[in-house]
Amino acid sequence: MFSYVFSRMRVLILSLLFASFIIFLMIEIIPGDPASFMLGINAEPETIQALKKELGLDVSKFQRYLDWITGMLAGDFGVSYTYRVPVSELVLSRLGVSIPLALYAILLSTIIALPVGLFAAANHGGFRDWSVMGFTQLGIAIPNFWFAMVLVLIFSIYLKWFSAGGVPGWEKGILLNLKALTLPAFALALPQASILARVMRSAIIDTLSQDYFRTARASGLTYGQAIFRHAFRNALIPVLTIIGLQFSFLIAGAIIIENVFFLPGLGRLIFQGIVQRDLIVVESVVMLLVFAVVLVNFLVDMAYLVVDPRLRGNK
Amino acid sequence: MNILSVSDFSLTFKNKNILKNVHLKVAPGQIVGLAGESGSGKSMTALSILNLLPSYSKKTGKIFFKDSCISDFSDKEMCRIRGDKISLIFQEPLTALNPLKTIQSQVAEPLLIHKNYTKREANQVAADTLHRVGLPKHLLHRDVYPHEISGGQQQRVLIAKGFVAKPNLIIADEPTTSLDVTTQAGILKLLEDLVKSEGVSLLLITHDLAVLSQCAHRVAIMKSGEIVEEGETEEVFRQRKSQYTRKLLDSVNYAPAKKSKASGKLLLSVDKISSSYGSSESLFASKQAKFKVLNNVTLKIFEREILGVVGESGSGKSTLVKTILGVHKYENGSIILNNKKIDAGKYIDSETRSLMQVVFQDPYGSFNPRHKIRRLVAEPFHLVKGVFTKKDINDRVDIALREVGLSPDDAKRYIHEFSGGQRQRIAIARALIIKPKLIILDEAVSALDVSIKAQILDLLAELAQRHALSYLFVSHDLSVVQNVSNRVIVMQKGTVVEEGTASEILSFPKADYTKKLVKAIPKIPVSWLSGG
Repeated sequence: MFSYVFSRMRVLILSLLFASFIIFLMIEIIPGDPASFMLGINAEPETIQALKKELGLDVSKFQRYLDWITGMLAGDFGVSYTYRVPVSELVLSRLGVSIPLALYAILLSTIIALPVGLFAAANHGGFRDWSVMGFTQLGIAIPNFWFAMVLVLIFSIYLKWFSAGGVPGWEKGILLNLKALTLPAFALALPQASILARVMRSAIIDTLSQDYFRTARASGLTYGQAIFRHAFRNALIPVLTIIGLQFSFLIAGAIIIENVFFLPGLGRLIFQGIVQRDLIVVESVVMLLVFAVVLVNFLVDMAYLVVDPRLRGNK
Repeated sequence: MNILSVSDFSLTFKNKNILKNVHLKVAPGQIVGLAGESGSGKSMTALSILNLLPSYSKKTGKIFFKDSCISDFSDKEMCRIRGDKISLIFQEPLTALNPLKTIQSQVAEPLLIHKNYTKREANQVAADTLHRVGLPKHLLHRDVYPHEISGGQQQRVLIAKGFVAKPNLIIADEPTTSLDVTTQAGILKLLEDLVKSEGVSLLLITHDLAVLSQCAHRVAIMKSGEIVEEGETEEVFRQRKSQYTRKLLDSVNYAPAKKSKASGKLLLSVDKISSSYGSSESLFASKQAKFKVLNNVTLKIFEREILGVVGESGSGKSTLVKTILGVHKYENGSIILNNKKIDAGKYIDSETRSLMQVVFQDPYGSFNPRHKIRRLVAEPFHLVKGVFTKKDINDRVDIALREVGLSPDDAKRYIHEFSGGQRQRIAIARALIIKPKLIILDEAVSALDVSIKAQILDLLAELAQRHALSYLFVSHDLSVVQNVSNRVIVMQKGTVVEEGTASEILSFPKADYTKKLVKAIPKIPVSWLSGG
């Protein structure tokens, strides 16, 4: 068990190092000089040079890579070129929107998907199964920004239950913010839940043909009891993998939804950073996203340990 | 009153007859054997009794448990019978247990469903039952999962689960088929013991007549969904009223007629090789402890000789095969085939490599299902130097198919269209086609039914004679090995513990391990076989 955790940790650290190197390299290759961009086309070469020095762009590339890495380890992500505030501050305020949104969406998606998948699998081949499959197909096919606009039309404009966008900020109370995040979370959760329900369904169906399921039936469990006691946990293993992938996607992939609902999240920050050649912001946010993805995968690997005793090895 | 009586029971799947007018009776405290080859409907009989049939099946006839007609029961009513009054023990103990639950909780489950036990009481009874079926003490205390115990122990756990609620009838479907002979002997003894001391009845389903001859009071012989003969065990074995019973009993312990004589010329020499697993180390995998699988193994095969290799699972047989084939590395010693050294990862000229071919246990899994037989059989041709026209190759495929008793027309078909025995014939044709000198038979007949096994053994003997072949005959089944081989080596935990001629090993085993092995082989009493 220790060696499993250790090897997962090693994968985590090596992935981060590798990613940081690639990110740095990519940013270097992208044409465009932040100093001249900030000062405009009419700037004097001396002014540009001076600004470069101020921004720390005049030293060697290797030195800048090292500075960046060591800075990040100490929690210093540098100062944004355009906003002139520490990147860490910027990111922190945006995370306050992005992480709750992602968690909210993944929670909704899981709460919807697992029972639906279970329901479809238990009625495998029947009419209920087919209707679930049809609806989830629809859920995957509908673009989430369109679904988001439909939600706004119905719940904000027609029913006036929710506001059409923005967040009040956490100092105004948790419930208000959660209410504001409800529509975007639903919009994000729809395609995720559809995928997850299908994964859950096929994972359960796989376990139905396993020998231990037959053993369970032969020892007197009803069909429903056997699914609940023996199929469910075995089906969780593939489901966990998908949840992990979805969470990573939700943290960064919410750019469009954040735009639809005017949410100041990470997706919008990175989009603005790219447009404004704010390299230090882009670098740091991308690195942060990589960290989130790798961390979530690590957590999923650890969750396998909880679910599957075979990974724990011999005690 | 009988515990179980099946009367005139028939079963069809989508108009296909699965069972036809089956009659079967089990009296209290009796062991009734149900024998037959694969596909004869043995397992379907078991599933019919518990009414665990697929929804598209149609049944007629009655099945009685004591005096209630359980074939008319609803699923809900059956749930009260299953596991409580009648329990079913499956083969493949590893997959029959839920990998994510502790063995104790799985054994306790029938008590929680049927007996209103609290969790604590159920666990206590489960632990007692696990102890009763012979699981060692250290496996009773902590949370033990199925993957942490051996195959024989897993089977004991399944028996405990089937027995824990004290049912009146246990149906055991091939409970020892995937186990080693010594483990098999232990499991059979346990089942017999439960019948004797606890008064349960046992319906023992198996393809192995020798097993039944040793423990069953009555046997029923099944063929294509029908019971062709039923009676007292000894009577059935001695009288052999039906032709099918005669055929089955004749194939048990079948020895092919002609054994080829070994010549003095050395073909393969394996000299003191050792090999281990887990020696690879990569950037992302943590270093694993080396596990030695072969330890100083030495063997020689002469031209036209059949060398048998026996050993239980984990004895290193398969690794030995892989090492000789040059796909697994060895650390010291040498393997010399026809004066050329063989070592995984090093270049072997195709001429030497083409002297050696292999036939595996699972004939279906060893073929690409999307290729036609012609292409599958012609596969080893890439080892042979020289240019072959398409016609040459086709002719050779036709000849090879004829030699193994198939027709050249079969070359146009796919592997799934053939039966298990035919598939093994195709595997042999594939091995034969480039005229090797040595064929390695890795459990090549182990998965086949007795009558098919006899046919394949005949074919192998005939081919060895005709083409001056040598065989390395690897199997866990000592009785088959001794019937076909000139010499036999016995392996245990990666070492060769005994070597000798086949009759020496079986009649006068020297090593303790061989003695144990020989003793554990189930045998039909000789007087029963001679008839009369």
